[in-house]
Amino acid sequence: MKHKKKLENQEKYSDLILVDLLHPDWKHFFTRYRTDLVGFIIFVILMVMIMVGTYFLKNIGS
Amino acid sequence: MRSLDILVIILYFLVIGIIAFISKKKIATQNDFFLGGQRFKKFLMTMLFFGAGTHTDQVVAVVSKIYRVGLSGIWYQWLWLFTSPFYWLKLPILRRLRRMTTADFFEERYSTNLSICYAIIGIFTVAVDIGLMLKGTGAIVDAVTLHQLPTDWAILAIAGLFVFYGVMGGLVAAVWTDAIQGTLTMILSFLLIPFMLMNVGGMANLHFELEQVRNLKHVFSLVSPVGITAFYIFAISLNGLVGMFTQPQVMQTGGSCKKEMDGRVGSLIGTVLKRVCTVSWAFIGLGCIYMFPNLTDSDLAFGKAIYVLLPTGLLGLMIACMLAAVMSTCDVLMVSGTALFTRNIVKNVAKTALSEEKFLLISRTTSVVIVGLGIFIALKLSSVIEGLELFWKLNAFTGFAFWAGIIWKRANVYGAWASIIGSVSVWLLTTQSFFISFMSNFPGVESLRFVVEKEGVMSIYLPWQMVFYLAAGFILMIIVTYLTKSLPGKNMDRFYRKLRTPIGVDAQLDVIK
Repeated sequence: MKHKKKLENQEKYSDLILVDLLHPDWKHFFTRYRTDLVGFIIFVILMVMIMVGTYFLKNIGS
Repeated sequence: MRSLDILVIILYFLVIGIIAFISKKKIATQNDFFLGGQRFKKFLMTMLFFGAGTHTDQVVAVVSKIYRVGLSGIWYQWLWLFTSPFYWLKLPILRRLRRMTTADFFEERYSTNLSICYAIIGIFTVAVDIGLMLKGTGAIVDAVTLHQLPTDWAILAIAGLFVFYGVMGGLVAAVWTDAIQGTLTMILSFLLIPFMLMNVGGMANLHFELEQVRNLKHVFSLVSPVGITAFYIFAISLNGLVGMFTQPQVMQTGGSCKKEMDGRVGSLIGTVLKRVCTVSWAFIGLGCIYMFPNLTDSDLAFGKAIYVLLPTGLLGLMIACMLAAVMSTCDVLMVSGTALFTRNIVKNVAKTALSEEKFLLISRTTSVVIVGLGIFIALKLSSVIEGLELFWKLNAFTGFAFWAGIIWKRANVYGAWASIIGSVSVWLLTTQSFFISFMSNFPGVESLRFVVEKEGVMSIYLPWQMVFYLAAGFILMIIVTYLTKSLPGKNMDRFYRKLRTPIGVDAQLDVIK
């Protein structure tokens, strides 16, 4: 029964957050979309670091 | 340029030529030519994202824009900064679609006619992008040869080089060239900084000269109160996000990885490297304002900078890298445009199966024609910046149809057509003189800045133009989809099951083939 329920979920949801964007699996949000979320957050942090770094670099000597 | 520089360029191209020759032997099928056999792992994917994504025109455009408006011109490349994290999410989607071109997606998700429509827009976009790169690199060659080889002649010479190279090697050759030129471009971009700082007398002197002596108040502002404002950055970033999936080469770059994680990691590292490189270009742009105060053509600023700053030998290496960048990037684009023509136009119009050999022959002939169109555009463009803005817009026209096709099961072909036609129509409308004059009389026009003067001509302010056509595309996609019937459920089930099935467990897809 549990196995069948899992398969039904597989049919309904993917592991990609963009594919499920309009109807995400809220119940297993952090496990199902873990790879997407972790990578996205790392990407965001790196982009912010580049922006902040540039801000400090351009102020050198001002 | 001295003889040592010329020797370095010749040696560099000898190595690149050997790579193309070796790559040629490995091409047997369409998959090999267009997607590199889908064998690329993390390192090559990184280089593909960094190298193929780093165009010579981008460095020319960023330096040129910064020369004109100050540091806020960095957003002409950083518009992808806010979009970049989405690359992590889009990679597995592109791979799981298991398609060679973006038009294949439109065919499977919507209809053959829409696929042909995308292919036509896509080929034009590819030609504009190739034209942009030729124009940008031509400007560099023009500057470093002290106008002995003018931009137009340089464009023709560079085009000849990469057609030979691309027709020989396909995507595999491009990726290996990217691996070499990508690394060297990054190193040389940073090597330029100390030479620039020595020339301008350090950052403190640069600040003093530009802000105090020349009274350029906002030259060091990342967000300017005029010109490139926060609204401007928002609009071009949103436009970039919408058009993220529909750049013609995305299926090649995203779909050529062996595993999904290879593509994801490659996109992460390659994109970060590229954004960091942009920072070094930005500082070179600021240095150019100080070093060359009276340039009439700002596109020449970067070429002049490398000519003045780099010692002999390194100058040759930089030019070789730039030319190699054009060769590999234009090659990827040429392969993408060719794939669109052969797979999505020829195949659908001819309606008969063609052999692999015939497909490759048509592909190689088409490559030459697409480059011809690119050369024509390069010669017609008034500046690299103008071409870059056109490129952004072309990608966004089909963007909502792609996004809706992925995230919204209800989206149908009528909505997609309405979105594309609506976006293009509104964009064309915003370029008409009667509309510009109507908007200039609009209440509140002073504060909202609907209309601006650009090189003596009144035009709709770029961010507003983007907001107008993006809004049209978005609203029409939703309204028309809701007013018309949805697509048959069986097709949709098959499509979404593919997206739910990771690469490597394709056996699960057998039931739906």
